[in-house]
Amino acid sequence: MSNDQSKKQDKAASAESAATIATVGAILAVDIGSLYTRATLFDVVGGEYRFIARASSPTTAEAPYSDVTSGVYNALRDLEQITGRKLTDENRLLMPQRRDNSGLDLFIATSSAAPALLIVVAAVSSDISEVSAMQAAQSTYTQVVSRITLDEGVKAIPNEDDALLSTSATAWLQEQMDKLLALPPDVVLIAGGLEGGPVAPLVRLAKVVSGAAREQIRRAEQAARVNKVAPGLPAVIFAGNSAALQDVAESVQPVAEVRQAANLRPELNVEQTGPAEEVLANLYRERRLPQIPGYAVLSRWVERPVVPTAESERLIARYLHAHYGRETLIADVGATSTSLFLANGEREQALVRGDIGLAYGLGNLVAERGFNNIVRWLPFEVSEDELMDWVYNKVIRPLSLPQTARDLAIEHALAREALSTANASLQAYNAGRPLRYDLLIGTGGLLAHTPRPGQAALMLLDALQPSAEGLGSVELAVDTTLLIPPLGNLARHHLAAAAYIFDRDCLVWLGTAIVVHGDGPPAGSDNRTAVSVTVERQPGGTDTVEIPYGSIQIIPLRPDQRASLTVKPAPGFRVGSGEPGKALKTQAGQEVKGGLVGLIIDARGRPLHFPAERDTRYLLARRWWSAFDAIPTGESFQSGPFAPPEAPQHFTGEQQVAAASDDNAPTVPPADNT
Amino acid sequence: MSLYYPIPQPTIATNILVRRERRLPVPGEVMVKAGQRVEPTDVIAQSMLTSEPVRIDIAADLDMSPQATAKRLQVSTGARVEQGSVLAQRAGTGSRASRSPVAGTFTGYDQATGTGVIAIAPEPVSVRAHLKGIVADLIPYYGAILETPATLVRGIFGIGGEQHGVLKVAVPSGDEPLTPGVIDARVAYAIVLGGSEVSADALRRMIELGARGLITGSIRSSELANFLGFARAGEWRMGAATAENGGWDFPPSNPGVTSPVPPDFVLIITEGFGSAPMSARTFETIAAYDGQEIAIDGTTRLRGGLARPEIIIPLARTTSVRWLEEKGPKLEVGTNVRLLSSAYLGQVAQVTGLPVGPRASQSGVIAPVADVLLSGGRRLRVPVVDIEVLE
Repeated sequence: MSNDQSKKQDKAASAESAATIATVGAILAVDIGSLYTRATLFDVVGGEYRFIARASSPTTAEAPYSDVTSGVYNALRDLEQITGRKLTDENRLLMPQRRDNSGLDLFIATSSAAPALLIVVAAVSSDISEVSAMQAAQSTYTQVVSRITLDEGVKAIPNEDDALLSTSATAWLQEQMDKLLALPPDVVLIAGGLEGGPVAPLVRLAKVVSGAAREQIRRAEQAARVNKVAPGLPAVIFAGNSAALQDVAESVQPVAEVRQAANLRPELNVEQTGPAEEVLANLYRERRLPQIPGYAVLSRWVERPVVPTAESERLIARYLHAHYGRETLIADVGATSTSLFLANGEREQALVRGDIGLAYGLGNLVAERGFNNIVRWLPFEVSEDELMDWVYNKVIRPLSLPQTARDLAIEHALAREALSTANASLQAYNAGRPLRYDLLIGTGGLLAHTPRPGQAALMLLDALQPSAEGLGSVELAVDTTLLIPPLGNLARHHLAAAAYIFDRDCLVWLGTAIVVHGDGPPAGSDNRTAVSVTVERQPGGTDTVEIPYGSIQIIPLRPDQRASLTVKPAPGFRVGSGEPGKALKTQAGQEVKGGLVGLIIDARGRPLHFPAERDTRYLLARRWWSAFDAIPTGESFQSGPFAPPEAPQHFTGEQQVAAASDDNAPTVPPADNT
Repeated sequence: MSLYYPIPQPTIATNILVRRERRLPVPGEVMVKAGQRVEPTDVIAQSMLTSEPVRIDIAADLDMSPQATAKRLQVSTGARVEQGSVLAQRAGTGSRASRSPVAGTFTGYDQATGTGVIAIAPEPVSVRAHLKGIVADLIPYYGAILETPATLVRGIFGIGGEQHGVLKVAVPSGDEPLTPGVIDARVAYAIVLGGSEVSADALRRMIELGARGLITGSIRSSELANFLGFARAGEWRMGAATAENGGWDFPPSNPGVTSPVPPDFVLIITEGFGSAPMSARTFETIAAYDGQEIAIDGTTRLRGGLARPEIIIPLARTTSVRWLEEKGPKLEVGTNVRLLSSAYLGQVAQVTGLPVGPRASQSGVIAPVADVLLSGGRRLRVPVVDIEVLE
């Protein structure tokens, strides 16, 4: 290994200087998630970098392995079987690549397997500095365990001297310290104060932190005496009024490390979260990634440090905006975390909920969103008991896959709610305005492996409810080969190779969605036509379709087709940033793209309206699902009174058995859903 | 091998040699000898846990000078103090008191600094055998490694820690629920074997009658929440708690609420949530040892130090025991498996085919699959991750 290692380093050094495609051949990129480890092979084919194959295997961070490199080897062995190439030699990687194509030239890794950083946001005001601080706090894998704001109950204190004498202020101080000690955080992010403003409030926040840290030290000493591990001391990120830095550091530094970032809100109307996000990302890399079991070995194998998966995904969103001018949103719903990455003309943002996901993060999702918010997405009845039992069975057996149609629908409902929760936060950080993007990409095991493309498309539209402000349309795609994390990482080493592979091998296009906005929610029996759409396919015929308000329809448009559209909203309805009732027509050269689903006309209005009456809601959801051919193959949703009157054949169990025994080879990779 | 257990052994293993380390958290005295036979309650090793003396700023508590505070002390040096007892008090307007945060001995007051010191008495700590077995190896100053020929069964989650007792089979089969009606005084001091689901009322009844633990197939999440003192299921947040468990103990503790479950009661669930039967194989394996002393451990941690419950049934006499193979039994055509997905939880089936490569399963999800035949004659195609090979 050491010989190969030095060769690898030599090669890396020469690659740095030459930076040409020809210097590096086979590239192995692994992404170690909390549930699955995915290994992806890229190589030069016919003078071009291409995606060769991908294999996945359960992550082996826990006992009995307690070493993620075992999972990497398992995935590599599968990759060797799939490609017929030799990549390992007994227990080591074959590096560099040989003439017979065996071996690898570059090995890089991303990971989201480390636990989230527990973070406390301490801000001066809940309406300004806390919002900015929360945005920075949720830019990587974190779990916000508590929030402290000075305007909570101590607003009446006129100045700091009074605060010291005030019993209520002392009680508040104690209460906040107790909050910190109850869930000892890894990081405390202190924010607040405009540049040139008062420093006293920030010092008061620092006192809470230092008081709690002192107590934490005492507890840690006690725990150490009985060979127990106590939480480490938090690192403090100070991203408030820079004039308070010295006082804050004096208060906190004797007991905890202080890192400075530029003020999140230097002026009332200026927000800069980037520097604090960078400091937080560094803390995650320094404190959390090395905690991945087997990290020491893994980091010796890889060319450069292991990169958090979210950083790679964020880079791809940034690339799509910078290179193609596409306002992009990438959505990733995983086992432990749910993330959104936005890059548009206004800003570039990441929203990572490190505590919400579809396996380990399911308990937190349900606790936060509750039963009613989840079942609103389902076209059949599920009792609270059934849903909770389902959820906790998934939590205790996180690798399990949906067995029945009902299981699949429940899992998809949970995915919708996870994405919707992340979307609401991201929107809140954009002053509550709808997010601007015209390209929506789904990634992560669940979205990549939905049995039908319509299921992925409808899930993205339901959960994220793109408003398609601007042009009025949004293109939908899924990363079925899960190349976004490895390509984001590869871009750090070989940007040209990553860009080339991304453009050719990454996305599967689902179609284009035209979003129609109405005036208020659609009524129960709303038959008003919302929009009339004329589609001129190239190649293909022309259709004109009228879409009633409250519905969603698909107009066939294959992946190889494009179409010119004439969209005529009815009075009171609008598309994009057009005036209500104003017709829009695609310009020459701007024809819309087809896809596996087709052209989607979403005239359901924004936000989506869910009828209060249960049967009406089921019927509505069934219509949406039917329109997208999204009703899962399998058993009946419900054998009772809510079985659909127009149930298609694939609702029956017999049909499912026939499908199950169909021996046609699959055309998509196997599911490793989260 | 199952995907969810920290030890590479099948979920049911009969006639095997179980080795368990019994270790103190701090160095102490080992009380057993190599080769010695031990009972579950025998002390393997013991020590004393000492704590740092606690320093209390009494003068600051009273908001007085150290000298003035000395006159208001209410405890003398060497006196025993309880947690919360008054150390010094300032009477009159703006009265204040300084109270002891811990129980211990007041060892003195320093007039220069205004602080008092309380020494905390060392606490004895010991580790018991938990298992009936033989001391195979000693760990000097810390404990020993015990060995016993046993049958080992694993649960999927549980509550409580280690417990031992006589097994009492309470239901005739794995698909019978355990209701309060069938629980009588015979469960006292016993570890009860139930069948399918159990209610919170039945659990409470068992605790009332002095049962030490229950092994059963399933429990509804709402019943478990009720039993644990949560208002409702769906409040279990995970991933943020103490560093000791990384926040992944399952079910998580109820913050701010004292658990209504006695700390020595252990519940082990073998299948999962809902009202699923205990798989016939599991039930029959355990029920065969009705009346024998068994050891159970309900500890469950999903991440950051994976832990799942286990049931160890030491064998009184056995002619041959074996070490388990590292990887456990293989998935092959003809092997018996239990189904893990919610819809079929607790059912046992036989593998009739293992199609090559990923295929569409019943839900349409494409994954490596197995074709199985259920005991009722029904055929299914299931993802391989949703089955577990029985021995």
